[in-house]
Amino acid sequence: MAKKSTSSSDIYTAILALAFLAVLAATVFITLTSINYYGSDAVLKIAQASK
Amino acid sequence: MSILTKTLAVLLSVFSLLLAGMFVVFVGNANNYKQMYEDQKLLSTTLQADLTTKDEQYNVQVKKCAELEQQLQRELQTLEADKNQLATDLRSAERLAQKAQADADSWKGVMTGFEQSVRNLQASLDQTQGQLDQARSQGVKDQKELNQITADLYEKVVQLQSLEAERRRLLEQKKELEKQVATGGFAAKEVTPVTLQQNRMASPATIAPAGTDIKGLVVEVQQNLITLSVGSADGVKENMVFHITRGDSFLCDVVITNVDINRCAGVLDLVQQAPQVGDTASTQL
Repeated sequence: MAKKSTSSSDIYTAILALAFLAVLAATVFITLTSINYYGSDAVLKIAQASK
Repeated sequence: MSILTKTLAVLLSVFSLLLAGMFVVFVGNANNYKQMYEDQKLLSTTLQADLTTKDEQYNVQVKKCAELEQQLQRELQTLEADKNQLATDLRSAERLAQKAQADADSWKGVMTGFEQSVRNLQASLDQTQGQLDQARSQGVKDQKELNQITADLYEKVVQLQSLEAERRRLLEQKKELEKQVATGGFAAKEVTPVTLQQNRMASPATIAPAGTDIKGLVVEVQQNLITLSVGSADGVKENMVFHITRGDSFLCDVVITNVDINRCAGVLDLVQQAPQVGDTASTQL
């Protein structure tokens, strides 16, 4: 029973890790695209403005 | 891990994936507004430059149009002045034409009168010409009569000269007889007259026989002597009278004193005009 619980927890951990990686990849993609479009200065200004 | 935690973890993962996918899709499809802004800015700058150029060209064209308008306005004023001048000239020309027409009508009447006068003068001239012809024929006839009278006069002069010679001869015979009577009465001998014979003294001018008209030309003129181009071969004889004429004018007579074969010479008589070389000589007028 304990072994079954452990493997189930790994699955959910993998799901969360996958979701985190997807969000991270999307963030990186959006950042690179924004830098490409508007430049790093504009992205930094946006980041500083949000603080 | 409770079921609720598991459910929330799965839902969170799913929503994260969906949200990440949506963001990725949105960002991937989003326009590059900066690039578009720069493009539009460049386009605006270009258009602004074009607008400036067009404005300059427009101003230049407007200036040219203004100059052209002024020039055309001046030309229009000049043409208007020319038009007025031409209208004035036209009116003047019309007045002159009317005046010329009136003059022409007047001159037409005058010319009609002149034509009538010329016709009258022509008729008068014809009449005068007839009278002149008549007078010329009368003159020629009178000239012939004059020549005849002159020939008769020559004949009378010759007779007078012969009578004078006879009178002298008789006076000489009388003197000789008186001398003989004074010296003792010799028989009368034949008296030889010392004067020339009657025919030797003078002879009447010979008038050419009627019907034999001898014509020649004057070839030499020397004071009172004249030489003609006809001679004995043409029937010319001494004392023959030639009449010298030039055209219809009678110049003089020539009494022939010397005759050669083809030349003859004589002295002038009844001179009215001096003859010249080339004048016509004939025995009959």
